[in-house]
Amino acid sequence: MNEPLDRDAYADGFARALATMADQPSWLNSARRMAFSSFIDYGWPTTKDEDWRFTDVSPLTRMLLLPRPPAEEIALDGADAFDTRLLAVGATSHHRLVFVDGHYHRQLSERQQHELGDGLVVAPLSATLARDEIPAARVLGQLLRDQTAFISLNTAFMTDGAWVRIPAGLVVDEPIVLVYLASSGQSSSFPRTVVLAGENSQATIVELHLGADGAITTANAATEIVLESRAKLRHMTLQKAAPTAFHLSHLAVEQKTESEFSARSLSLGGRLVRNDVHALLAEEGCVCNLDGLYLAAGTNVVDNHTTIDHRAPRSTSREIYRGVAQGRSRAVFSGRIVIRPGAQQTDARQTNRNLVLSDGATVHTKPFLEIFANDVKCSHGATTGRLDADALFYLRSRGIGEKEAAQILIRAFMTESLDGIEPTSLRSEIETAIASTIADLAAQDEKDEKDERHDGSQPAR
Amino acid sequence: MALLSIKNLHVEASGKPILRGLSLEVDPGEVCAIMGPNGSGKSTLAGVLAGREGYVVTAGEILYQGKDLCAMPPEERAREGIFLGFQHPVEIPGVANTYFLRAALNAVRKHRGEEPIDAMDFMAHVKAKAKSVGLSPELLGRPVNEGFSGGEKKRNEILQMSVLEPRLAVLDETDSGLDIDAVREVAGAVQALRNEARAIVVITHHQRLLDYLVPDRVHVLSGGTIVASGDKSLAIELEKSGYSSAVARTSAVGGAA
Repeated sequence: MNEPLDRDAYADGFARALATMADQPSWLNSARRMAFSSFIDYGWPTTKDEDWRFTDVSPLTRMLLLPRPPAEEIALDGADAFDTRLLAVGATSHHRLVFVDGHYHRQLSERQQHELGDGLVVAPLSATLARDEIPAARVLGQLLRDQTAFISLNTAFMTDGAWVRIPAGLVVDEPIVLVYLASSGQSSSFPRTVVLAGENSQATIVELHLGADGAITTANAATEIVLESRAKLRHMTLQKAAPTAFHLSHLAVEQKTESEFSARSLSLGGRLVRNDVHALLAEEGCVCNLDGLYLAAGTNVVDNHTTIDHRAPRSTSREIYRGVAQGRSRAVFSGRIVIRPGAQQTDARQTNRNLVLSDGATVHTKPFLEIFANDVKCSHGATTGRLDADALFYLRSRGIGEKEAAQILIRAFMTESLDGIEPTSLRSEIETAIASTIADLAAQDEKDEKDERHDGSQPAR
Repeated sequence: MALLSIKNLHVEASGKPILRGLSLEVDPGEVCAIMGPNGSGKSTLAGVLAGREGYVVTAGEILYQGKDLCAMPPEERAREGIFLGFQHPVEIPGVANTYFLRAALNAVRKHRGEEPIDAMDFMAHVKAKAKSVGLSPELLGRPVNEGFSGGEKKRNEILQMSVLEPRLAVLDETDSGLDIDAVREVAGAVQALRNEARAIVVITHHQRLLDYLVPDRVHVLSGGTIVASGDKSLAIELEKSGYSSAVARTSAVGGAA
């Protein structure tokens, strides 16, 4: 059951947060006020809301989710607290910004000079907002309106984030890497990423969201991306929160004529993870690929909700989400595809594949197609199954132990969703990171089993 | 001592008796062929030897190097030197062939108390082996058996055998689905792996494979038991007159030497 919203405590927190944002433009502060009042009006979602049927947010309602006040420099209690393999992803990129608990961390960031001669901007949002740059205002708050408590909270409380502007025609080879670290105790962070990809531009953006081991952090992230005509943008989110932590994210994208957008969402950890993706194919001939991979272990809940909204003719969307659930975890996938009147010759395909590794794990999968145009192709398919017994036997018959064989198959299932990641160096970094996560999962699974046996042997009282 | 000694083996699958009192001895260095009609229990025998799930041994025993084989999980059998060449090799998307081979070889080496093989050494080793079994090196980097033709899959089985160097190889219908030339080549590759210490059990429908891989002994399996045993000439006779006449004429039961 959700706790009632402590309006006074939140109002207090909001007033304090606003006071630290005096240098920001007035349009933004009024947007913050509106967002905050809609949060107060609507409150937390409950499992009675269709979109939250399987995901109970009550543990979040027992906390007070307020931004950490800005500090001169937030000390990182040793990078050891984070998954070092994930932290290594994209670490050599020259376009790398690091945020700790929602605040820009200069020392850890690679890119000191935020604008180079080529016109590419990769900068902390706070600096951009202080100067009230018009292009950022064209995106920020335009795609993500206050539809849920979490979007509202992000808009009200966002302390910082990244502003990425790729000028028309520019091809950026190196990935743009945005690292969001949730570091301490019970902190909450509200990072916002805002991207404007100019006409005919090409780039790859990686968002890393990592939580420190053992911390009960809450990351409530929001990302808005606009692709101008014929822009090509690959976006990837790699998320690994601690098993005690919460991660919520919203990604909203708007595509103009013949633009190509690929999003990849890799959810590797967290007690409660909810990712919402909303892709609007606003003009003709767009291509949109959504790939997802999620891991649910222990008693965690991982929930992915996606919407692909076809509004104009001749667009293509491909969506493949893969999930692995073990222990007594719950994985949720809801994939909505809307084909609006006038979006003729849309070609949309959706697939959801789940690997269930234990009797106690649950998977909910829900395709949701709304088709209002004729002359369209639209398909969906979902599978949920165990490891292939024949493949397991084949591996074992060659001397590979049962557990190792299972790990090889799980890894194979998962790495299929890494196909197409470029550059290949990025792919191999991610593959390494995932391999170690799978090894951790196997260890956790063994522990779960042991705990369960232990539970079973408890005498009844 | 026989490398493999099966005594009065009774095996059920889904509650149905398949093997009914099968006895068989295989010596080191021996190539023996097991022939028989569909449904006689040939693939069950192969599956039971490799430890496939779904079979229940209700009576009898299998001794391999003097040890009770039925007590070992499949991976331990493989590490002890048993190799099953699958009739239908399994496709494993997402697992590179070389990765799989190296993991298997290292598991076997570890069991023998040897160091894991170096990745570079392994590549050179496996490329040479692939060449010797006629498998295109390009297939080494591809996912295990995925999109392989029937012939490529069988060659991949023989490649694995060649890399893992088993003491006892059981080849289940390795010739099925192959054209005449491929049968000759695959049989030749197996023939090259024949040695004094290694036993090879060849399970087949047709004697053609045995033209190139001449067996020391031929056993006829029918109704879940060995009904006839002989040398290469038995296979030729079977090819001419069919299983039914051979089964009818012979009353020999058990592992006749």
